[in-house]
Amino acid sequence: MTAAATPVSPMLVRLAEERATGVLVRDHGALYLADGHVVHAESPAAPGLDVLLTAGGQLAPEGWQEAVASAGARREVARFLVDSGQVTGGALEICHLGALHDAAFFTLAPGSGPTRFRYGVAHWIGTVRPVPAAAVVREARRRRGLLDSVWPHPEVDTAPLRRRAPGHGATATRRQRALLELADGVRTPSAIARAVGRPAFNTLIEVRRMAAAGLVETPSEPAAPTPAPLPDWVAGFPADPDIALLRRLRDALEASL
Amino acid sequence: MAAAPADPPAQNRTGTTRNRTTTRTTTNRRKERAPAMANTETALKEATTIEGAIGAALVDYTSGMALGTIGGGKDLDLTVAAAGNTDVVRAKVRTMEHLGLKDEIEDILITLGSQYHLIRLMKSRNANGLFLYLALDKERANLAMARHQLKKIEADLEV
Repeated sequence: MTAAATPVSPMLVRLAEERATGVLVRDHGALYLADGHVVHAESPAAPGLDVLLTAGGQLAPEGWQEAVASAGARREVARFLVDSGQVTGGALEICHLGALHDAAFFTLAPGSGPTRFRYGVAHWIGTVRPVPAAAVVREARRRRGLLDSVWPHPEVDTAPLRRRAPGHGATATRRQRALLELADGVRTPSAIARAVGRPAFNTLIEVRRMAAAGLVETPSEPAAPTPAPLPDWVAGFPADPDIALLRRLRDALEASL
Repeated sequence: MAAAPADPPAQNRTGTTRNRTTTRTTTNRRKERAPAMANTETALKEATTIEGAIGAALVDYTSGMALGTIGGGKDLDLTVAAAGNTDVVRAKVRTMEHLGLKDEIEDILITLGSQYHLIRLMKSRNANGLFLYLALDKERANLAMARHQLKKIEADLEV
């Protein structure tokens, strides 16, 4: 409940108001904006769109690679997937929205370091369905509240998942059993989400439900202090980009395409 | 030698793909491609054409997130309805598992004094369960027709 009251990134609100385009980077993820709307999000804690699409068998891994290779440079990977008939528009949109809100939830986690914004950056996935920044913030807040209402112990989110000995009548659902099978005391909920190809938040909510039902252990100590931070090459962009280098790179790419 | 014949077709394939896309890019690409990308919106719009429809939502039932909503208004907050009805679906799924029923839920009907609430579970290849949620005005709705139309909308969505 305290988390719900914490303001999530005032900078995002301001950027949305000025209809900014670019990428907002925090310690646990990045939000891509176009005209003040969120068009994409990425976080090391959340499986990417490629994982979600290929895990369900909706798309062959080669199909994804081909789309990135063919349409990545002109930032139309999403369109390519639909136009080439590999994924239907509805399936892609639903999967992308799921991935966007999933990564945004981790990116907007309260107190996760400074917020930086780089104007003009667009993601190569292209436009699928832009979401108003306010809706993204609202959903992230709702999700945080939901987790706490189920089982107010955030320790379970980042600790390796451990089963508890059964014996008190609680049974796991079919979805939960798929997660329990991977609970080897080493994998964290994030790693399990990636392995089963489901959004990380959907895994967290099941983990909290299972912890509440006594199916998995709730660690007494707060475990790993933070989920994986963004790699430096994303998070640590310099204040002053090397424009000349970027121009040369662009020219070289255009010449070779 | 074995690799040589395999290479050109692959190049041709990407080559033709690119050509085709380029041709389309020059011919009014936005108008031609937009509908394919707006599928959930189209499906929800279609749901509002159902006689007596008050509002509709497409919901992810694990997270409780509404992936899209239409209609509703001040009397029916569809985002709240979406999140709350995930508990309804989960309870029923769980009960069926307890009972050992190997069947699937097609839809769930909740009848109020003045409204019908219809929940249609989607048979998706997606690993995450989704459902369509439709609120109907009881006076104006034809329940049998509404169920039939909702089924068709699900099929059109092709998730």
